[in-house]
Amino acid sequence: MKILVNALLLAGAVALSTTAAGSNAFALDKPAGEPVLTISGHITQANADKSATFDLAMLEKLDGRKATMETPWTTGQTEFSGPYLRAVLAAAGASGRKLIVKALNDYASEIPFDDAEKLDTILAVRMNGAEMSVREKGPVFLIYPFDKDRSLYNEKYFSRSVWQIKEIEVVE
Amino acid sequence: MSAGGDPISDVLQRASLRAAVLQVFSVILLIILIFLYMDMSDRQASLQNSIRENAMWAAFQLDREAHDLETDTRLALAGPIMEPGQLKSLSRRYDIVYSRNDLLSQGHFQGFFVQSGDLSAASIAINQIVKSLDRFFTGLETSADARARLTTALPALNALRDETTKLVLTSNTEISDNRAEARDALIHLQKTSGVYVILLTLSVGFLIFTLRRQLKAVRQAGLGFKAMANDLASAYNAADAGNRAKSQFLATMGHEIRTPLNAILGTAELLQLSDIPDDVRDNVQTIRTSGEALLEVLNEILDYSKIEYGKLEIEIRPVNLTDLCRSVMNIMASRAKERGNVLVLDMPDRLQNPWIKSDPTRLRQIILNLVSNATKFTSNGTVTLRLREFSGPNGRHFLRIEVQDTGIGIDQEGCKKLFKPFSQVDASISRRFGGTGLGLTISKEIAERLAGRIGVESEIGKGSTFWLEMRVEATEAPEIAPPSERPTGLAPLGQLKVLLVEDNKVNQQLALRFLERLGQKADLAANGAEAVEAAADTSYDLILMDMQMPVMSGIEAARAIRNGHGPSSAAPIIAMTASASDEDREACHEAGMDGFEPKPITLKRLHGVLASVAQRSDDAPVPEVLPNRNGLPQIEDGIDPARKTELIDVLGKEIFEELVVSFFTDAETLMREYRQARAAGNLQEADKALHTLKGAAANVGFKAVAEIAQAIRETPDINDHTDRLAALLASYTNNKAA
Repeated sequence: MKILVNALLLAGAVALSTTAAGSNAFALDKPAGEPVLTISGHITQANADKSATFDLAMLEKLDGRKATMETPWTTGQTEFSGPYLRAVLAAAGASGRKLIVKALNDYASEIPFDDAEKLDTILAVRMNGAEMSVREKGPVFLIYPFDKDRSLYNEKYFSRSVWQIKEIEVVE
Repeated sequence: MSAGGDPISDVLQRASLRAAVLQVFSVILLIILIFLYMDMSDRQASLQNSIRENAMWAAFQLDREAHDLETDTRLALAGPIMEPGQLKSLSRRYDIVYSRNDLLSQGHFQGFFVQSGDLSAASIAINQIVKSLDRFFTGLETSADARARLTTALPALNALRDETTKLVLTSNTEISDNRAEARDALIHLQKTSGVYVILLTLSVGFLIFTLRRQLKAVRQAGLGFKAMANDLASAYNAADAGNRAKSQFLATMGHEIRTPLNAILGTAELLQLSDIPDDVRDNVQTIRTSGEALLEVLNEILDYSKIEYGKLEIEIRPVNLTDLCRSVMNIMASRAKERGNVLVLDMPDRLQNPWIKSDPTRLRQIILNLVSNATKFTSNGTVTLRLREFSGPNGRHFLRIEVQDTGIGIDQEGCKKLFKPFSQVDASISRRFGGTGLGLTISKEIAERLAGRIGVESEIGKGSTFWLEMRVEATEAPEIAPPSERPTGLAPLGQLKVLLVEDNKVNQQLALRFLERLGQKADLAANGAEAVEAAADTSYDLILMDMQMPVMSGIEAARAIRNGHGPSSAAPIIAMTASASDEDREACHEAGMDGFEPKPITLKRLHGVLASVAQRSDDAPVPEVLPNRNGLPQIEDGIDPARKTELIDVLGKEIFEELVVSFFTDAETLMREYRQARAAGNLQEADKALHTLKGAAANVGFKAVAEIAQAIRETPDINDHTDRLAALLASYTNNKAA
């Protein structure tokens, strides 16, 4: 009984937070911990200087999934987990046509906004259940759903799979 | 054109062989190509290329990060103070280098970087240096001796930079080599498949070429066959036309010959009647006999040509078998007698089916031919005409007619030849007995047309049996058969001496034929005066007297005969006239005539008259022979069908047709005479002409003509009748011509 109530409360909280994220009335909270991701550019939910910053906890609260797959950059089956890219973008109130995904080493890749909307792309923050350090391509790794759609397993999506992400710029 | 056949079939054979080989070849080539394609797409599908490219990229990134790390370290050492942010940044740079280094030994790239010695050595060296740098950079931002750490790390960073540069260069070389190799392999593959494609194209090309040739050959063969068929058809047509022309020629010539022959025979007959010395009479008889033989031959040839020409007509009517057999016996009686043969008719007293459906003329022709042959080849023997009926299953009736003789017989070989045209058993036979050798051929043909079979069994010296078997269909006696004194069949009559007095040629011929059919021989007188003369000389059993004749009329002649004292003064005289009024009848009685027969005379009534005369000689009462006045049906060609049937039955179709033709000639003359007499006001002459016309018309069966002629005689003032008569005659003439 208690569990059920908790579950209901939790569901309500999630619903609330989703509503909050989608409206202008509640601005995005400032990250409590160390910011790991910045969404800049065409967004409405800024919580810093014209940009939305997320810490790990904020990201992990968003709607996401766990996916196990093989990638060119890992050995064997690897489990990735993290929020959907579209959930993160929604939290930031982002809208536009493309995203410029930037890495710590200034590597950048342009991806269409649709990759967030139409594909179950996630911003992985954990690999095999553990947080990812920079040495392990962390803290944020854009993972395409190679497990769901084998046709994505090619160079086009490999080059879009940016790791060590620090910022996503939303372009109109 | 027939020469085209062999090369065409040669070409066809060679082309099909070549096509088969080419097909096999093409299939093999196609399979090879499919394998090549699969191989190619396998290679294409592999990620070899992309891995190489990505490995290159990874090496390059690592090199760049190593440079940056070294540069940033140098910059930090060059500055006076080391900021914690600066140190943190350096630490992150190291982390990135670390992660980049890890990548070399992870995932897909692992294979690439260990594949060659140089690459392997470089990547191992890099890994060692990166790992060794760990102790300098871990916890760098919080360490007190950051400057000392970095200074110590600097040479290693330098080495790392050199190694990563070396890795990039080696990778590049390696990748270039690999790429070149891959390209070579691909080019080789492409060349190979190109060769196969060319071969396949050639093979398909040849195949198409061969198929085209094959099609061409087939078309040529088809055209050849068509031409051949055309040639054959025209050859056949030519042959057929030739044959038709021959038959046509025979038919025409036959008719052309028969006309003068008839004249010769008629003249000879007349000559015999005239007063001539006996030796001349014998000669004339020879002329007649030969002429008749010639006529028979001609008729056979005509029949045969008709058969060949496909014009032999079969007319199925009710046939009385008894009558048929008896008439044959009657006709053949005299000839059998000449050769000392006994003629026997062997048939049941009561036939199961006395009437059958068949062609009486043709059936009689066959039986006559068989009996005639038997008589011809038998002397002082017996010729038996045998008739038997059989009932088969399903109520079928069969008829077997046999003609058995005790003549010379025929051997096996001869039997085979018998039914072939123009063949007699051997030449000596034809010399001895004459004949065309067509009779049996014609009989066989007719028998087959009548759904029958004809055959022979024979033994040399013992005689032959010719048989005719046919399936028959029973039928009722025809209703239109004229009522007669005797219910059915005409009993054979004894030979009577008859004098026929008749002026009209057509009527003469008709009456004579009828008498002949009844087995009688008659003398002919063309007018009353001749009749009186003949009656004075000869004793006749019967005198048949026409009424209106030139020179002396029938009434006058009868009176003269009765008043005379000749051997025939008491002979029965029967009047034959087309005018059947009571007045006429009265006049006949007054002149001393014994009977009165309205024209046209029928076979049955004539038979009745003859029979009554025969009876009278046994002092039996003379039956009053009543005129037959029942209305006979009329048909389109103007000839009464019952009469036509009878006439054709007695005379044969051709003679009947001749009779009709000569009637029209006569009618034309009579009409002219009638018009002239009428114009001249000579009513008596006009009436005479009409009377003759009426009689002749009634004789042949032109009932309407006879009636109109009579009508004119009764009311000569109505001009209209004359036109109607002329029109009617004209229409019949046209009908005839058509």
